[in-house]
This record gives sequence, structure tokens and C-alpha cells, in this order.
Amino acid sequence: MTQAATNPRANLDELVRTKNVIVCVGSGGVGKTTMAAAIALKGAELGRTVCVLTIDPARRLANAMGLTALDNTESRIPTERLEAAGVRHPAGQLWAMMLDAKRTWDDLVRRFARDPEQASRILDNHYYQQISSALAGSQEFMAMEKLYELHESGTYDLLVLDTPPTRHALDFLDAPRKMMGFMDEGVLSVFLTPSRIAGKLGLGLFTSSSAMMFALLQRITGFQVLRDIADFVGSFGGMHAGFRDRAAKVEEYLRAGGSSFVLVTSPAPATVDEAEFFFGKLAEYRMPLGGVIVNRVHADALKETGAREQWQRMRDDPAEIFRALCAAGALPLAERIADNFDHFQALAAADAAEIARLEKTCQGPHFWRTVPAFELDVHDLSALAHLNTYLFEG
Amino acid sequence: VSWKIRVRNQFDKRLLIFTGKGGVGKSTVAAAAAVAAARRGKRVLLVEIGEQERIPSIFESPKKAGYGGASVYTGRTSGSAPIWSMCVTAREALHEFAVHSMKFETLYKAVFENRAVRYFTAAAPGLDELVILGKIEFLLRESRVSAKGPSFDLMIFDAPATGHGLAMFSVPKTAMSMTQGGPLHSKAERMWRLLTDPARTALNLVTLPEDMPVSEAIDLHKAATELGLPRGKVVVNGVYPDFSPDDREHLRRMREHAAPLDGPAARVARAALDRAVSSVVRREAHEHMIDTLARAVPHERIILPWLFSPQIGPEDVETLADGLEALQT
Repeated sequence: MTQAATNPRANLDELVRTKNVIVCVGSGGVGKTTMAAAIALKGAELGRTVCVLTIDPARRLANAMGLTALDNTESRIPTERLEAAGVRHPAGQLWAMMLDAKRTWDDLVRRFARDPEQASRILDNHYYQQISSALAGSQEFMAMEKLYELHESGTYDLLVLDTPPTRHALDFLDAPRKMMGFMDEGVLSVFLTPSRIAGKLGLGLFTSSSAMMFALLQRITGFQVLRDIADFVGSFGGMHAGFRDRAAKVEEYLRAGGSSFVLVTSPAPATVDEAEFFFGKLAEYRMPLGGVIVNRVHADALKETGAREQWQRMRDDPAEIFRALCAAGALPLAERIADNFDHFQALAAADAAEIARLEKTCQGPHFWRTVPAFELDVHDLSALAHLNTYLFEG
Repeated sequence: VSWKIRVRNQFDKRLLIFTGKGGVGKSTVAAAAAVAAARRGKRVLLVEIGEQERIPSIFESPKKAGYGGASVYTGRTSGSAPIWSMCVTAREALHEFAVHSMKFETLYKAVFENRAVRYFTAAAPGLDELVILGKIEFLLRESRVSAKGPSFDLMIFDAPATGHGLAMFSVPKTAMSMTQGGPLHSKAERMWRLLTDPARTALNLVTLPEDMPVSEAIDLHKAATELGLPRGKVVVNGVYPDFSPDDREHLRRMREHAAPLDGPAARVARAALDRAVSSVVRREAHEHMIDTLARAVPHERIILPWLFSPQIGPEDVETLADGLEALQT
């Protein structure tokens, strides 16, 4: 409360100028990727070296940035294209990257391996190949890692991260903890007895009760991964401390002063519910919320004094629409115009109510921006630059 | 080699999957497909996954369906069978599977509440997807909502958004390669056979007529084809209402030639005109996106109207169900 009183409400301009990491979170289909790209573009406009990365396996960001291919390496958006979109600053650079979870895993293994032999033993392991490839869930683990890696490289002033839809974004917040849990010595010690496990599977000759439980689990399910996992974790010998430290660092880094979360939502009731849920989760994880962007808002076109009464009269006699415009037209078209307008006004009223509901739940010194529902999709740099006129004050 | 029987009418299959990018209205479309099938007398079980249930609220049903399932809606068309809904979480599915396999709850606790095992199951990628698909396959084999629940003919599965949605469907194949024999292997194999059998299953792609959802639908179509999931339809949701070519032209001319605005009446009329032109512009953009989609994805398309209601309710679902009756053709 006192903070809100002494600190003027934060704005997005300030975040883009000063932060090192901005993470865009929110449910699916609200335009998160577009916002991430627009924020990154603004950073470049302010003269910063910015990289925007997405962990969503679908190619949204590529579309938003007008790129045809994104892979695990950053690619720079040519200056000419930025200039064509009206974004110019001699020092500003915009880079984009789409996360390849498998390759990030591989890089991580190589980094922490004692020697190339240990690295290749892991990279060739069957279980490793399964968890590091297309299976769901590993994107989240690796997004955190890639974000931190880029941060550590010191190449960029600002990293903007786009995340998958809410439920998976929660996985994303959970990722470092899960990883730490998995890398926990107590858990690993179960696996780090490969001779016992591999030699006497299912024979009950275990000293570790956990190992016995795994053997039982295996007998019940027929799931033959235990040996692979044992080998896998065994081959990690000496590396898990590095992993664990890193996961802890990533979480700490996101919580630190250089990072900020931007919650993106639309005014649709279901997404507002999810935004409220997410707001609570960020607080629970003690992640710093920079602000809220409400996207695709239908504006009330009758805000002017007396406009509502005026419209009511016109609604009763739609031909009046043509007369007021000094134009001619058939009555059925006038009626369609009137119906269409009523539809939009109903949406505007509903949007306003939802935004009020959200504001009530998500109170704090963070910024609020609303972006109107555009007639056309935002899918190139010029449209992103236009979008920025709504997101930023300067 | 199995005999692939051609079943054209999707309502005569067992499992209709609806998937697409988040925010395209997938749950609403799945609910409307259930209403359309129920109009034909099919007893439908709608399945969604995750912690936050959506389907019952779409039908304005006061109760949550949960893992046990509940009847959430009976359509307004006479002869409609009641629709059941169920929300499957990985946690409950794993518990059920484990207890079922081990027979004893205490044994389950000993194994699954063991600290190391719990970490393993939390961290093992793909395990959630596997147990959820396992539950789906089990339900379909039993054809019952629960042991004492009613039987059903058709399951409609509201599957998670694009990238993760497809990752989910590749999990049984991965599990098959990781297990040599044993009950889990045969379970994964049964899931895989179900998912890839065009006589029983169809994968429908839901999209909006907008740039990014359409390119994702195209990617999704490619990935689904590679995986061998049986092709259903593409449902284009939220298409703006049409104005005739003459009206489009007329509205544009009016906006171009409108006299300078003077007075409140002119300003209000102008706002209404702007909104009408805006609808025309969006409609044209939608038509363009539908063409793009048609060139890239050979599926038959079902076009559903944009609903101007801020909160989707049964009325809207009934409207969309009219369009989804085309799943029969």
C-alpha cells in the first residue's frame, strides 16, 4: 500500500528501458506472442540489444516477426526491415529465437560433463533420448535453461520470453523446482546404485526401500525404463550438483530485480478467470509482476454525453442513420448496420465489466494497458509498431 | 494388417478429437459437437483434461463433472440424449491405474507416495499424457462412464492446444518403444491402435479465420498426417457475418463520401457506419484466411459463425451445433 503511494504506477516504457528480462504470461490465444514481439521491438527502438524467444512448439513467433524459420539459435531481424517499419535507432538490435528443447538439453549435458566421453554416454542413453526429444513437458525445463544461458552470455540487454498457455506456463514456473526435486541427492541416491539395481532386479535384495519400490513399480507396469534411468543418472555422476545449482539460480534470477512478468489477457470471461488464477500463482511464487495488458478490447463508441439517447432514437428508426450521414440507402441495410452496432456495443459493455472485475482482483503498483480489437491481425513489423502506440506512453 | 472400414459419419465412430491453438473456442466447439451428436440420439461422453473444468460452465450446469463424470446437459431438440461430461486429471488417472493394477490401496500408497517415486512421476515427461490416454482408451473399451455409470456410444475429446496436443498423441508410440512387453506395453499399443484407426477415431482441427491460428492449423495438419492420425474436418470458428457484395460496396462508398461530421446525430451515425465497415473488413480478411487454409489443408471445412455473446451459454452451443451436424457427412 505504502509502496503504491510513494511509487508512481510503473509503466511498460520504464520496464523496457531498464529490465533485463520480461516474461509474457497468460492463457492461450490472447496475443501473448504478439505482445512479446511488440515489446522486443520497442526495446530495439530504444537502442537496446533485444532477443525475443518463444518456447511454444508452434510457430507463432516466426509469424509475428515475419521470419520463415526460427531454430535454437538467435537470428537477427535486418535493420532495413526495422527501418521499413519506422523503427530506427543506431544502436538498437532485434533478435528472435525459437527454443529447440532437445538441443538445449544436449548443450546442457555437454556443458556439465566432466569429459566428452561422459557427454556421449549420456547423449546415447535411451532414456535420455526419450525425455529430451519431443515428449511434452521438457520444453518448460529447457526454456528456463535457455533463458538463463542467454542471460549469462551477456550478449543482450533485454530478453523477452513468450510462454505457452496458462496451464503449461505453470509447468514453466514449476520447472526449476521439479528439476531440483529430480536432482535431489536423496532421489538420485536411489538411482546411483546401478550395480545393485541392474544386477538383482526384482529379487528383493535391495538395501534401499526406494529401490525396492521402483522394482515393484516395474513389475507392476512392465515399464523397463528403470535400467535406462539408472544408467542415465549413473552417468550423470558429479554433474547433478551443477544442474541443481543452475535450476536454483534460474529461479532466483527470475525473482530478482532485473526481471519482470507481464500478464497478457483478453476481456473474455474465461481468460479473465485464468488471468486471476495466474496473478495468484505469480504472487505465490514471488515472481515480480510488472503489469497487465488487456488485449482485444471493444471500445464503447457512445461515450460522448447524450450519445446513448441519440443512438436509442436512431435505433428506433434506422433510416435515420442514412439521413444523419446525408446518404441514401435501403432500410434492410440500415437495420443491419444498427444490429451490427448493437452487437459491438454489447461486447464493449461486457469487456468493460470484465476489466473492472480483473482490476479488482489484480491490484498493485503495476501498469495497466488496454489494446483495442483491431480489424486486421497483427502479423508484421509495421503492425507491431502500430500496436506499440497503445502499449507505450513515449 | 487390419481392415480399415470406412466410416464417413463421424457420429458413428467412437472417438472424436477436437484440437487447436488455445483461444480458438475448442471447448465450445467440442461441446457443440456433443449437442449435434446427441440430437441424433447418440449417448455422448465429453472428456476434457486438466485442473480447470470448462465444459459444465459452457452448459451452465451448476455442478462440476469431475473425474467421476456427470450429466451436464440435455439438448433442446426432442429425442436428444443427455450429455455426460468428465474432467480427467493425470493425478487421478495414475491413481486409478495404479490401484487397479495393484489391487490394494495401501500398496499404492507405499509405492506412489514414496518420495523418490513421486519425484520421478512428477519429473518424467510424457507420463501424464500416457495415463490420460490410458484412461480414455479404458473408458472406450468399457463404454461406460464409470463402473456403475451409464454407458455411452461416442466420446468427444477436448484435447489440449496445438503443440502440446500433438506431443500428447505421440506419447503411446514412445512408450511402446520404451517398454518391451508387459502390461504397459500392450496398453500403449491399444492406445496407439485406437488413435490411428479411422473406423473408430477422427481428429478434427479447430481454428479461427486469423493469420496465426490458421498457420498453426496448417502445421498441426502436417504433424497429424505424419503421426497417422485419421483425418476429420477443419472447423473454422468465429467467422464474421456476411454482407452482400452490393452492401459492402455501398458501406465503403458511404464512409469515403460522408460529409464532414456536424452534430451528435452525425457522429453517432458515423460510429455505427464505422463498425459496419469494420465488420466488412473483418469478413473479407476471414474469407482470405479460409482460402489460405483451403489451399494447404485438404479437409472438408465447417464454417461456424462469430457469436456476439460475451459469455458462451447453451443458446450459443445450440447455434453452433446446427453447423456441426455436418460432421455426419
